[in-house]
Amino acid sequence: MEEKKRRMNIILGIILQIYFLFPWMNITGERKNFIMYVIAVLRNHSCADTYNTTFLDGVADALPLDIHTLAKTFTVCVMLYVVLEVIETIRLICNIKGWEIKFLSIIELIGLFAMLSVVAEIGLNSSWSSAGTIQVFPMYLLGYLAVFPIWTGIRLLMHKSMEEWEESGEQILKTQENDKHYKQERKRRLYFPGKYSKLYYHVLWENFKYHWRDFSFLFVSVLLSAAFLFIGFGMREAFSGSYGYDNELLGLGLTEIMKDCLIVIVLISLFLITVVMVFYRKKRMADDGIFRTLGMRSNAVFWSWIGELLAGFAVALVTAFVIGRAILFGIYAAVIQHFPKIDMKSEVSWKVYLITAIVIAVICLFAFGISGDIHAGERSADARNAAVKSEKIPGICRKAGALISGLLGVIVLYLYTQRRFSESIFLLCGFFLCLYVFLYNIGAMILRKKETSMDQYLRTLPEEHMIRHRYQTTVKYLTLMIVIHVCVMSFFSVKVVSNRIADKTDTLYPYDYVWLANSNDTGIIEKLKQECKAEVTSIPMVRATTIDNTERLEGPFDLVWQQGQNIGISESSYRKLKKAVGEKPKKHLNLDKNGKKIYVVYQQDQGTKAKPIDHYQLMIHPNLHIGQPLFGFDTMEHQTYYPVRTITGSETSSLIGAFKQGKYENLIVFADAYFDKIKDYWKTTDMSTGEKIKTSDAVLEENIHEWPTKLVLANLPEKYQKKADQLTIDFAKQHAYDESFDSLVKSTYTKTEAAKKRQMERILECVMNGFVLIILSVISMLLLHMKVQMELPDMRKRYQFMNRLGMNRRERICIEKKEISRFVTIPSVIAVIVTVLYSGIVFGLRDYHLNDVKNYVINAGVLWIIYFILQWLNLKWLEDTIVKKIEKGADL
Amino acid sequence: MNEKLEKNENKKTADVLRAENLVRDYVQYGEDGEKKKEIHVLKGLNFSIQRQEFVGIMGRSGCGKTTLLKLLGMIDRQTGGKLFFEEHDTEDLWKDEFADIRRRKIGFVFQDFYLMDSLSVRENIMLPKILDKKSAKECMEESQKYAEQFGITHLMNKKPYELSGGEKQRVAISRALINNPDLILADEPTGNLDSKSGDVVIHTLSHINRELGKTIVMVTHDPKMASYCSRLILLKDGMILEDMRNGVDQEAFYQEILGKMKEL
Repeated sequence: MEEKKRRMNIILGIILQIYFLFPWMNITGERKNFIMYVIAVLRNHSCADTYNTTFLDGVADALPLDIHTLAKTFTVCVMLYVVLEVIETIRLICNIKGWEIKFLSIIELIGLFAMLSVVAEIGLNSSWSSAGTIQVFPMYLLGYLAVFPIWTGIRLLMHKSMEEWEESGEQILKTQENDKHYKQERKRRLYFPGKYSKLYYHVLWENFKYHWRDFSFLFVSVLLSAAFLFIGFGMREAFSGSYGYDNELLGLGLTEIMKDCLIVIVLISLFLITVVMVFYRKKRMADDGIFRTLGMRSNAVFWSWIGELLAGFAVALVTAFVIGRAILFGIYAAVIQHFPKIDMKSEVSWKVYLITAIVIAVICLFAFGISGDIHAGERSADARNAAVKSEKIPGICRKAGALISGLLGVIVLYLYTQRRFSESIFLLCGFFLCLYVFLYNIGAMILRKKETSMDQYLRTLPEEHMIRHRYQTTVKYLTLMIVIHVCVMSFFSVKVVSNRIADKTDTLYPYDYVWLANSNDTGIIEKLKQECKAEVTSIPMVRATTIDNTERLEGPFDLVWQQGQNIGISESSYRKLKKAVGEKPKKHLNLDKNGKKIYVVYQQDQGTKAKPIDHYQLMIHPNLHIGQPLFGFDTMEHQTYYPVRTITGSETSSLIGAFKQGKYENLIVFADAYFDKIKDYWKTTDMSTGEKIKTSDAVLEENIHEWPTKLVLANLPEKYQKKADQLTIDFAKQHAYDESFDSLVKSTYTKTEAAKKRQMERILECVMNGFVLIILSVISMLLLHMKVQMELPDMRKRYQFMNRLGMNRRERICIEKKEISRFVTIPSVIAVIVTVLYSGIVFGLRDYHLNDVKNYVINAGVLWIIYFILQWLNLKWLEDTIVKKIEKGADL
Repeated sequence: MNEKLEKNENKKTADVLRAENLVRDYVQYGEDGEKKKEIHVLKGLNFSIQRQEFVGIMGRSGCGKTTLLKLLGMIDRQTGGKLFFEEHDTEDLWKDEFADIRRRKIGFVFQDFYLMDSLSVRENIMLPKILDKKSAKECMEESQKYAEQFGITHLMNKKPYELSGGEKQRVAISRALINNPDLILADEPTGNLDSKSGDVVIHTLSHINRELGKTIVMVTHDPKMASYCSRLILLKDGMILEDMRNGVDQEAFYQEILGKMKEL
């Protein structure tokens, strides 16, 4: 053992010597190692010079930072390496000779810690990582230095492993032996040769056929889910040509429009398939129980069940593809007929088929897993009573549960009123979850309360016993129906209706051209005036950038690359712009001369959800920097560079044009006095770090950049549009740097392009969300059908029993109908309440005027009425059918 | 048939089942999901069942009869004590070995018949053979043989829901016998039948015990049916109250059972 260890140490020592002595550094054209670097430092009598010539090609003087400290730190590090190298050499000699010097390890350990501290100091100091285009401390250095500590760690592990080798080796051998023995034993004891005869498959097939009615619900739910997903993905692809996918990180465009729709389809599919699968599994358990009791191997039971599901799902998927393809073609034909100019693909690529198959497979897998919990009683092979097992009504925690879920629901609603979370699908899901828990507990409280009065309990028992018996399933169904109703009446109605009532796209852009110019653009602006006969208004501006424009949750000290670029103007400019568009400005904006207080004009229309100017902070305190985005600032001190301001007021209006629909280019209004102070900030602000620099140290395009300082608003006769477009292109070329921060923030905006794009966006939103409305309506009706049809055999038995007990026909029918209608009436009432709340919040956040609200209610009202008529007709039809089926053959 | 009997005669002395301090507890959970209490259904039973015995298990509702039968049939596992099947400790057996034993060595007859409505009578009878990977030919022949023996050949292509209770139980008995098991477990086989059909079934079981030499364990609450057994275990509150042996006179045994029933 010791000899093995010694040999291993020698090999490791030799490898380390190669590492230490390898000439990896390029010093004045020659390749050198650690020792040579130390010698070079001693020769030069300067750490900085050696570092400069070795790693910076002698350009240290041109760098904006002092490299002396870094060079000294690095030299200390290299010297420590040399010390460690000496220790390693002694260790190697000792190992070769077979001597043992224990204190060597301790010295080495101290050296290693010291070296690690130095390396960590270098690695963690972000200001040393780069200066402009030059890497002050190349990362490969850190990599090379890190090899030794890692190697030491590996060596320690190897030593430890060697010590435990014999013991663990024995254990491994023992385990292997046991495994082998177990496998042999298993093979012997569970030897079951031969193949199942044709009769076996015949029996499975017959059984499957017998349960086809139950399976068909599962089949239909998978078919519908797959078809809806296929259509959703297909439409996403079809529209991608005319409205690009955009940068997904920006959360705009097609991705954003599709996100909510697909999330809802996926969630509803998951719920639908899970609920039906639970039902199907319960039904199947009785037969599985017979198979198990008669000695069917567990594997065979499992595979018969899986085979049945897989085959069924595969057929459902293929059918969904066929149906979905046909519907997509219909949508394509309808869209092209109404909007001939739209660029929409009629083909569906293989990717849509693939992604639909993958998503539906994942959903089915989840549903299978979730529904598996009913197999808790599987320890016993006797599963005859599984299908009729009663579900518990929650016990002692129901009050606490109702209170907590109610409180959480209120908090979620409150968060919903914040621009930060406005119309968030995730928050809505959270609300539904709270609602489910609340209903679950409140329902239980009501039922338990009734039990305290025997009179009341017995009186309501015939119509409520099924709620008590299947309490959990009942609450789940009710919640699902509420979710669907709310999605239809609120979430997706808002998306469709708000786009219908929104101002016409022409009125959203009061100016034909908007340029974000600076002092270098005087010539081109003059050209625009002269050559295009443009009527130009020039307004002083600054860039006002917020720290985070993403909806993701960032860490407090993370650098966010997508920052919110807005237009900062003075109060007087704001009044001028208001006047220009014929609107009355607010009398008092309550701004201050220190710039702590700001006023925001969100430039968006009624069809877009409200957004905050800064996602970093909740409420009304954004982190706002005067200037363009910074990427080299000290994130630990972010509030120095992006000071917190207070929004004293806001409005939603399109004063220069709703080009970015509130996501960017909102107007940030400052007090005149403050604006005067900041309008030349670009001259004294470091373009990368945001640090204040003296005018004497400022070098244009080296450490400062003139950001847009003039907002140029131009209107011109249509015949000069081509010329103006050309000038706009030239203008944009000159402002390539300003556009480099974010692909969506430009230096120029044109009315024609923006209006066209917005029009397209509205069409897409209406088509997509309208499609989801149809899906949800279909699902809500189907769900009720499936629920009732699945429970029909039990219902029939129950009411036949009631009949025999002497319940009269009228009373029976009344209860039968109630049993169905409660799944429409209760969810509808709750959904209406939630819709009123939700719509109110949305109106408030989107800053709707009374006229907008009126238009919305009229348009959405038609939609809601149609929806409820459909629900009512479906209910009546179902009631009649089911009552007829139950009452057929009753002894009257 | 004689060969089989002879074979069984040789094995006669060996125990088919032996219970040592057999315990089955169930945990009852409260509405809050917390463990509320433990219900001791079987409280340490000791007995053995020998080959060719016809053992009845009697007792009041809830005394643990069906629980005991489930343990004996390896549908469920005990929570304490030991159960030996043909001298094998069932604790050492794997789940699939239980399945193999149920398929090959035990036949089940239930009060609610436990037949599959999706399959024909023929398919129901041959199901254990099908699950044992036997050839289609063998399945058909064997099912036909038992159908003839129990007079149900004319029902072979019908579905269970088209049959009367007595017919269903005869189908269930045929199914229980098709794999020629050593042990038949019957859970109140006459419970759902009228007296005439019940008589047919008990005579059939008695015949199977006497003529085919099968060991039968039957749970019943009917003293008349119990009087057909060669031995009767009376259970009370999860414990054996009395282990009674049938003498020659069935009527006397019946009277003795009636007498003991007062103590239950």
